[in-house]
Amino acid sequence: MTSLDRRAMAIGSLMLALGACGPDEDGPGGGTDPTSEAGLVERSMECLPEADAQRGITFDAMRRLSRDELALTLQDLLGPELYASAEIEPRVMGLPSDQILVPGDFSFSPPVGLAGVLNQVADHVATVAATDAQWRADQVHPCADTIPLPDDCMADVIESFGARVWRRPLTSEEIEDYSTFVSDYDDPERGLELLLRRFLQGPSLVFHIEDGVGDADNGRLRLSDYEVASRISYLTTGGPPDDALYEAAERGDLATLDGVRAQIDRLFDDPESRDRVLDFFRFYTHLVPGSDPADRLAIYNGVDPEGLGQAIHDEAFAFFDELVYGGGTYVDLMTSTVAHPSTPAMAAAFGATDPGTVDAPDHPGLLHRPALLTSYGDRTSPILRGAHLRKLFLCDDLGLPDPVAVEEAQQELGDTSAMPNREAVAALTSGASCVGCHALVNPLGFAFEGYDQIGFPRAEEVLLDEEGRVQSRYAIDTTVDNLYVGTSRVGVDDSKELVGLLAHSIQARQCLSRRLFEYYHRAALDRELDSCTVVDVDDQARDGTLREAIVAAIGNSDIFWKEDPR
Amino acid sequence: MKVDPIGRRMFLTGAGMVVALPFLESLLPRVARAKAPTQPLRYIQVINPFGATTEQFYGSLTGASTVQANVSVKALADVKGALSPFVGSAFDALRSKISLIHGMDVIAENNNHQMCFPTCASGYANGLDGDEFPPLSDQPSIDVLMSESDVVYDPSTPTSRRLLTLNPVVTDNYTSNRSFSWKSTPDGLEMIRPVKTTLGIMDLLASAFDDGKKGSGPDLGGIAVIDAVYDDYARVRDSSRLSKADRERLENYMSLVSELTPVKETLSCTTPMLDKEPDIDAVIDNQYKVLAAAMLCDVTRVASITLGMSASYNERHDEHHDEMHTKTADKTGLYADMIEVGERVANLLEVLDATPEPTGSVLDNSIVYWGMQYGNAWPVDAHRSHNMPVLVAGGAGGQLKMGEYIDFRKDGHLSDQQGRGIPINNLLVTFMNCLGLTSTDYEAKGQTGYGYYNDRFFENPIHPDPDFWSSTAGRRSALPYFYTGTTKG
Repeated sequence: MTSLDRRAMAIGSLMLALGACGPDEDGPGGGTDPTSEAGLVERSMECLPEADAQRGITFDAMRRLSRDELALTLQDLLGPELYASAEIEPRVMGLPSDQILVPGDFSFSPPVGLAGVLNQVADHVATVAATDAQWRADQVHPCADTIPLPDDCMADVIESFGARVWRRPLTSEEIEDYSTFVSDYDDPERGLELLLRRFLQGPSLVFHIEDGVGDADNGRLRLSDYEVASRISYLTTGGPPDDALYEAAERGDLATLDGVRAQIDRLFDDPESRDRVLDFFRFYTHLVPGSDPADRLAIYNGVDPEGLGQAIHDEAFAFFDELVYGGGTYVDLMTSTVAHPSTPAMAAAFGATDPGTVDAPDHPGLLHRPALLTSYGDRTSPILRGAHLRKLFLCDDLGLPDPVAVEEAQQELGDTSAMPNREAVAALTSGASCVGCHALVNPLGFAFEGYDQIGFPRAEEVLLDEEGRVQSRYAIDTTVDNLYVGTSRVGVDDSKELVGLLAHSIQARQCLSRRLFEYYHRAALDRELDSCTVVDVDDQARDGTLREAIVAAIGNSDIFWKEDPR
Repeated sequence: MKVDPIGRRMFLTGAGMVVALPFLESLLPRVARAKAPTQPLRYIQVINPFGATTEQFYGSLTGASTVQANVSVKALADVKGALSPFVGSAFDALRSKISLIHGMDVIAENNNHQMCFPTCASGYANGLDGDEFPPLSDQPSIDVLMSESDVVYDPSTPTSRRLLTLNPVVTDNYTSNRSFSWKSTPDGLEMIRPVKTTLGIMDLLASAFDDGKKGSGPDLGGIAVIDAVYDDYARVRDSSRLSKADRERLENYMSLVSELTPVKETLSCTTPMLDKEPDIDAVIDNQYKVLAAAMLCDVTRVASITLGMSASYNERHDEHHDEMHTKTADKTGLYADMIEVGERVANLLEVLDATPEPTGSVLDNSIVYWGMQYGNAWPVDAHRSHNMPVLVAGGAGGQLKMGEYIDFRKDGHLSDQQGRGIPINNLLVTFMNCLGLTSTDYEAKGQTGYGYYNDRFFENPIHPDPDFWSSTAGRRSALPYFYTGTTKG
């Protein structure tokens, strides 16, 4: 059987009696069960009218600046050279990194050391400002280019530098307050020093302050255009708005979704935005740079193990970058055979002779990146491969094994090195208490048995001893006929056929859309409140490019609103 | 790893001169002098990811005598050779100042990896799988409870230095941003993210380590700035449309801002002299020096250190399974990392012990608790919550018995690797009791006892004396024999 459509044996709205495993009762988003292009019957998230009427309520807390947002904000305010000084950058980068590992794990409370860091940074900046007229002219205001500060310059400094600090024009009351503060000092230099120290420790360096404007609307407050500009900028680049964004806010261009998306699209090619995109893929795939895999397996495959771990990681991220910035789609993400090996060893993994951009028909899409296939054990782990695929890329919640049952099964099975891997895994998980979840996990992993622990294609399983000598050889079987996706059961010959199926799976695509929401909103999904946003993103993932899907994850109706806390 | 004994003394330098030890009482802060005729007690927890088998952590230790029902002991001095692979020869000179506690079980709800919070006496909720999920116990970790306690600190002590949360290892991407410290927030328990750099720690303590600058008089301009900054936050708090939770977070931050006011500080400690940091061990050495100096000077009394691995989580995780399943432990990087973690713990103890006080050393007047993320694994089961590895050092000024191996597993099961002990909850209660905390402090949310409990644990007959340990009195009890202080309840 070769046609996915033919192979997909939809079994209607079968509710799997598989214990604690599988999709939640409400499905990935709670919604309908449409049939996908692949003939799969799958749960699909739906935007319900009541959720649509409350768009934006998902922004329900005053978020603080992450460490990296603070870093970019200070770079913007201080200039890259001063920011990079030993007195500033190491302090900022010494703060907790705020890297998101699982949805919703962002801490809203500022780290305890932040106040001290800002205090030290502000003091240092004031010291620089006292002696470096050029820095003042470049970063504070052109009129501040002489020492001592001209008498008529202070008002300009307050208004212009203050607006950059607060990311909006200052109110007349605020201007008066700052003016009074500096007027307490007869010496304008002293006034400038204290003003900078005050600005650089202020609330906008710690929190994203969104007051909103006007009255509440359906439990929400509409943000001002400047607040929208900040959201656009921090969500896209991780840094503060640039001049063009401020000007767009001033013109009122950010009142519409088209205006918002135009700005996001403009910013999308910035290096900072690119870093954010790649960091999303870190979050989505859980890939981190790894050590070099076991030497003996690399040597068996005829490649140099030195630096292989990093090269494996780099190739995956080059693949993601090229797809997003090269006009790739979700289907491409799942099926593209373009690879980007940076070393001869990596080229060999893809069946090529030289590094560069190569065609790798044995490595279609995300799931065949060696980085996703690498493990550090003596054998591949179909269980881990299957569980990762189901949890990360299908967004299914899995039940959890009973350690007592695992222990008993392992003891009963004993040494499995004399068995083919698939046979050993099947035997280990055949118990009545195991089979429910493993029916969802194992087939996914078995389909990938055509790849060894460093992602090299293999025709047979080879077990090596500690010295790298071949201990055993076993035949590989990658066919599965009981693979569950959504509420359908399908069969595939191997992992390449499987990814072709997932390329047209609504569940897999909506999982990507959900992860985009979770990453760019720094929040766990609330199925009821956030379904419309995920559907927005998914519409783009279905009909457009990955870039358009990411732009939609940032720029959607939510961006205009916050929850009314009252 | 050796510690440079000169380097250890250098934190007491001033104006380029080394101040001779022992330390002068006059250098102690006024609060400490007024309140504590003896040295203040400190608590330091050191936790690493993953776990160890019984053989790896406890070697061949078994109780030589039974001192009371279900409590068997052995003097560590009687053990020939290293105590175990992970509690190796680096601890030999410290044996009189450490105890190994066996039979401490985290009561787990989640049957999966049983990843544990050895500082919360809890795992996380069933159905979850990841270390970022909060402990099921819904109580802050004990270091946080101690740091927030007015029993431990004078109420005027700045928040920023009540708890130092460190994680100096940067090569382990998994634990690089993690700690085992959890605090209460309006949104539930939240992990305290650690300070990574030595500079960051020094910034936290900057107002105390002022190197005599206070002698030049208060910085009136600085005070005006802090006051103005504080008012800026107050305006946001008062004028913005904030939720109650946001307002609370804002006010918490405002309290940190207010602590920046120079004149509020009363301490006068000397900045420790630090070495360059070409590698991670130099970073750790520096941070240990800062910690010892801060504790000697009574800048802080509570610290939490996470010691990560030298490779990625994925790699070590695979090895962890492999190690437990195939017993090829001595071939893995994880095994080597665990030995290194042990050496780094021993290094910390040496640094603290080389920091003398009027009575004993900083170590003698501290509790240092070394624990791990998983329990001692039965070889075919990589993640278990029972028999958590526990090393305690310092003795809390004589309140804890040191120099012993103490096994709380049920009599008759001491050689059984699957033998179960008593809740680790009581170990943590013991530590809190040592620092003066009682059930009033840790039962603030209405629980009985500290940490997570469920009935299934006590229904398992393999646990010793379940009736007592599940009772209110049992839950509030310090560990018998090990704890020699007054009963706190």
